[in-house]
Amino acid sequence: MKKLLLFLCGLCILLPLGMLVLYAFAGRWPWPALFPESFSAARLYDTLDGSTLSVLLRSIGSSFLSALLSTLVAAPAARAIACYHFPGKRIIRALLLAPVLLPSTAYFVGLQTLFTRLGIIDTTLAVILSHAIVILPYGVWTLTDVMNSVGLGLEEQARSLGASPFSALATVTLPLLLPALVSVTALGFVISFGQYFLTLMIGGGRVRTFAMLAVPYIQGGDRQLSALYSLIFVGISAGIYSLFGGIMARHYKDAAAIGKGAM
Amino acid sequence: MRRFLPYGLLLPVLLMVGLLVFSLLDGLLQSLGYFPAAGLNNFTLSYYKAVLGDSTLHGSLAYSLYLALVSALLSTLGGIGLSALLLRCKKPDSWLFRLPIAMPHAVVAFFAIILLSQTGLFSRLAAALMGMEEPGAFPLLVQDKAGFGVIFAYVFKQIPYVMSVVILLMRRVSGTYTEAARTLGASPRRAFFSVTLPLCMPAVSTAFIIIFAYAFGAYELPFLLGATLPRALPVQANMEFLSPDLRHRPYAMVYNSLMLLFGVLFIALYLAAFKKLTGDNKAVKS
Repeated sequence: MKKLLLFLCGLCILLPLGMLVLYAFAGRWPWPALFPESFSAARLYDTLDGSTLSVLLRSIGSSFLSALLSTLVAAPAARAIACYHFPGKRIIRALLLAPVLLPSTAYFVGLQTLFTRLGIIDTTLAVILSHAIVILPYGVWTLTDVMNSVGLGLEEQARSLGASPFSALATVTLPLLLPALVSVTALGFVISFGQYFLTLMIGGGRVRTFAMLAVPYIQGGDRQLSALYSLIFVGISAGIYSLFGGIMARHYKDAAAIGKGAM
Repeated sequence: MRRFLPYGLLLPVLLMVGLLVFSLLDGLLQSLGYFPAAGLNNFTLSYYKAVLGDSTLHGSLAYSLYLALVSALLSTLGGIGLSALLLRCKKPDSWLFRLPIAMPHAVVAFFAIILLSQTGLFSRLAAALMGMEEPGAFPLLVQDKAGFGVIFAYVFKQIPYVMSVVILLMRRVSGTYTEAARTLGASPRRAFFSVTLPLCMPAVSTAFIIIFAYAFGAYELPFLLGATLPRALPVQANMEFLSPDLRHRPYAMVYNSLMLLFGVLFIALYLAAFKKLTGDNKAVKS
């Protein structure tokens, strides 16, 4: 009984994935056929040209930069929250909830106003910054949990044995945190890579990311191209996530599951 | 000097999130009629009165609250159920069940289309098994008033998230408190519902609030899978925002400010639930 239920749940995930593959390579697949009548890859070659690939590569690059920026900003913040007591800590935690709990459509408008004022609206830089803001809370939360369990004890021991603050940080704490930093960056990448509406608002349609190419096909009902783009989309997101997201779980016993709060 | 260290470490985060919050005030001023760029300089509540009395807002708000509530309820129930099923397995966090976390929303929307639409898999199965004669005979499950497609997509994506939040806690609780209840003679069902579940509730409620807030305010899924009448609140708000007439902007900002008001409520609820979670966690650990 239990096995059957779990099997059905697994099927719920594998079935649509399998259909993606079928749709991507189907030639004719009229209703009510359960399988495609013919297979064809002709349109795939037409679509996967140099310009699509360059958008894909640039998209991967900019999502990686967003994730990296967010991790670099989140790490010191997590250290402050996990290891120090200071007035205003609770307000800061509440503030960090804003990008998660405020309705995103509403605060994207705020971001658009902000970047218009800064004069960088419709640029890749603005898109990277806005994605980093969206990712930020997840990074701070996960790294705060990890910093809590790593603590400052070992670093202080190194200090008392004569290490400089910098070398204590670089040789003791950073190596301990490295798996978490990698995992958090991978999660950030996945969140950024999937953003469509935010990129549309901040990039004004001029910054072309992979999501910007894929969504119009899904909206327009072109199933073959939607399936092809979705396959690439899932392949890259899930690939990065499973390659690097699991690193953390293996390194820290009882650490909070990576992907906590991931949308 | 050391006293200021934490603030120094937090400075970049505060700068980024602070700018975001600050920029929201801009919209608030515009919703109150102060928008010099469009020649509007007088503070007034008339935009609020106009929008709040408009049945478009009522329909959209009700539709979005409904979508968010049903999505969050089903996701948390499903997540708890699956966690309970996976609890005894050797590898509770199998990669397959975590895969949807890494899937972009647009792709999940496409899943809903190829499974649930009138020419989707289920419609084809209905034709093969029950002799349905044309696609139109299949009920409208995508872009429908009941929001079936949107809810399906949110639940598909959020069940694994609920599991990731709940399963570690559930495992810790089952090894200790649930075992104790069983030893004292409670049936498995009783032990689960009176011990395991209540102890996991704080984690579940934080997840519930996050999902609710997300489903209430996100654009992609209702845009791709939602009904055109009524439109979900985020889709309607964006339509107002896209109006080329700048003098219409204050109306759009009223929509925005109302959504933000709900966001503030979500933050307050989350903080209350989170306080309970950390308090209980300490109790479970000690």
